[in-house]
Amino acid sequence: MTGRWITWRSRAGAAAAVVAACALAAGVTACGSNSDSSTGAASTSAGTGTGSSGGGTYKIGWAEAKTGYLALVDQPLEKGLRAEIARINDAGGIDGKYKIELETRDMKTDAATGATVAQELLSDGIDALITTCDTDVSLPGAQIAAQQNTPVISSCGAGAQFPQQVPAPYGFLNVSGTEAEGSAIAEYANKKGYKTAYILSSNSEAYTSRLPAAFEKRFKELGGRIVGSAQYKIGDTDYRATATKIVSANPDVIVPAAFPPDSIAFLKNLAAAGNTKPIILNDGNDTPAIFGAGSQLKNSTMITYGGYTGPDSTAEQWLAAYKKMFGGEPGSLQTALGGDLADALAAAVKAAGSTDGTKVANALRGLPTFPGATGPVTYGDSTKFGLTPGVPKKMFAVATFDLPNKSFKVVESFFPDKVVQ
Amino acid sequence: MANDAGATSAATPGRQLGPWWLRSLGGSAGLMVVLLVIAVAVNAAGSPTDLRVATTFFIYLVVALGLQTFTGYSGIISFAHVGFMALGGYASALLTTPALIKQTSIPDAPHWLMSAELNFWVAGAIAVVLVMLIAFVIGIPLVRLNGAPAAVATIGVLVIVNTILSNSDSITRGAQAFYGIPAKTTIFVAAAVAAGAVLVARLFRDSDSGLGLRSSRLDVLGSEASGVNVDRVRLLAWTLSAGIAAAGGVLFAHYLTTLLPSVFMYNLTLTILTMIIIGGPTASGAVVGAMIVSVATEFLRRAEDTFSAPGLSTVVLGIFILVTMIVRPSGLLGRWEIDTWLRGRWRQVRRVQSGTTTGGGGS
Repeated sequence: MTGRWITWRSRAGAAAAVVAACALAAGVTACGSNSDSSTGAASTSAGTGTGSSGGGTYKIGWAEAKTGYLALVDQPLEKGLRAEIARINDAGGIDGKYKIELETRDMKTDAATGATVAQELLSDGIDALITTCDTDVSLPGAQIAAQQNTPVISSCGAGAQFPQQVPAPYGFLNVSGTEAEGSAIAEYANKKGYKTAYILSSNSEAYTSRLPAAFEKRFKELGGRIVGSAQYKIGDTDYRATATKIVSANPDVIVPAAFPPDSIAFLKNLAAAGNTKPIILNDGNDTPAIFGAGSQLKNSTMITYGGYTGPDSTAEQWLAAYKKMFGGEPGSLQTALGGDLADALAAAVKAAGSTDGTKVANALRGLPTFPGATGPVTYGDSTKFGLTPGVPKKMFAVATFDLPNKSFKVVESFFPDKVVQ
Repeated sequence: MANDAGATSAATPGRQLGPWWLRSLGGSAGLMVVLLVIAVAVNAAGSPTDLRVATTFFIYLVVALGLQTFTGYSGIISFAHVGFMALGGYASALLTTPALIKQTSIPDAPHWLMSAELNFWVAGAIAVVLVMLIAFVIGIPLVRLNGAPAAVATIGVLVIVNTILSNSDSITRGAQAFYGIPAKTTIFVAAAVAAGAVLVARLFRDSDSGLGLRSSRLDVLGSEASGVNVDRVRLLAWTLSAGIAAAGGVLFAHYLTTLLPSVFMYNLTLTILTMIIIGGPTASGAVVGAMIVSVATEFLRRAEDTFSAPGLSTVVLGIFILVTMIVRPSGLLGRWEIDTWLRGRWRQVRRVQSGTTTGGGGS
């Protein structure tokens, strides 16, 4: 009996080895022929909106984080993008010529998987690539897209160097960048009359190290003083010592460069330490999860995108399309950044009069102000505001937290007078 | 010669086929040919995506073979090898990236580093040797540890490497992506290095030092009583395995053309460990484990998109490990190299045919 069992297990091992060898050579190839075919039907997400109806199509691929920590920001933006695509398609498509299709694949918040997924989408014939909400993680896939003359936009990654790190003119951001946001927080703090600040930063990510650096530089330019700073590592769960130090330092304002779950733990520890000072949070906290932070949100404001209701905006139409598609309000203000993705590409295709990747990329680089779901957006004139080519100028929103209703309330929108580098 | 027993099981008496190293070469040849056939087949018939998947498989296989050379043969779980992979990748990247890009990306780097634009192979060799030297120094105190303390110490190595890379802004760009690395890793380069890694891992396994290390896996005191200097063979394996992992890192850097410290942490460590756990503690085990994990991951990734089931691959891989641990705790191939297993089976068949029913290896 034992002998039979051992023999069976040995055969299983040998069989597994043979199957694996054959599968890698043949199976993946067979599977790949599915995904890299011109139709890509086997692993394609459904198109959005009314889809193509005999006219041309403009196919957008998104190497999206559906799992991993970036899923928290990518997934709401996907809904925002789908709503705006539906709205544009229902209105006849881009310039009445092209219906937009969207194909999404999970890149698992992993740079290497992102490159594979980008190649897969490019093989499926996409016209433009959207990458995940981190320019560093996006880079390998973005470079592949740019090398194949395809415009590539990070969904909400904020590294302003991204457009220069991929072959020109194909790389773009969908936000105004870390330095612009840091400058915006500093100018808002100065406007509120805060003279001293305490910073929380982390070298774990570029976003959490460059944002406080930009804030500090602009805050000092405006006459502010940094009374203390603390480092953390992304994933830390205990900030009690830091919170005690901050309360002891008695700053006018606290600026943590953190996002959930880290920022939630930090705010809870601040509450336990008895903090009563105001806190300015960044756009990484623009998610329903932040309401888990509790009482410290009463004295917090957040600099984010979206919620703009002035002229030169598609916000109202986008919001109506969103409610129609998903049956409720978006969970975050920056969900509108998803709408901006469709607005930007549609405007560029219209300006280029073509879906050709190089023509669309050049058109987007030079695009004057156009209405977006977050407000007026410009790529062509962004350098006049201290931004680099490929980085858009967008309005920042100042939001407070409505704890009982767990919603954000926009109190003003602005763009900083100066963006430090 | 002691290592004769390492190449062929003591449970499989019969004619020895030449010296141990010749049998190691012969045993490795089959696996090397399989790897090269896969490379040729995917290159000829695969899509661009398949090429990326297969190239990634070869790169991870190199790292898995590095890990196997220490963990598989010594029985001490190491979490540090992805750290060595990172060091190899960054070293090669720094030595090969065009000076023009480095002037923008790391303007505060030392002049000699800024101006270095070495050939890929030269830089790769320097990176491997450098990492081996670092591993040697780290290994001197580390190899004296056993069991859980040793494993925890290797986590410390991984964390230290990650912290240094994440905070060396002027050299590595810190937490930001180091970009502009020349793309040199083709599927054939990766397959050739993987084949070389198979050979090195197998030769070491069958050598006197490898046999001594494997005996210490079963009984440290017993092997020391038998004359094995356990610290010495562990240090040798640790250093050699770090070099193999570093070679994987060099391939990875010149394949992705962008490096991030956060890539080289627990997720990748878990993936590589899964490969050797599923395959078993031999060079063949690493190859089989890497194949199964790579193929399963890719199929499941595509299934996730088809069926809109994000996270499916992670769950299935977890189940895979669970089932393997229950059914085959020592991995699918157990302690056998494929060629020794096949030879044992062949002898068993021959004995059955000649009327002998006792003995037989390979089960």
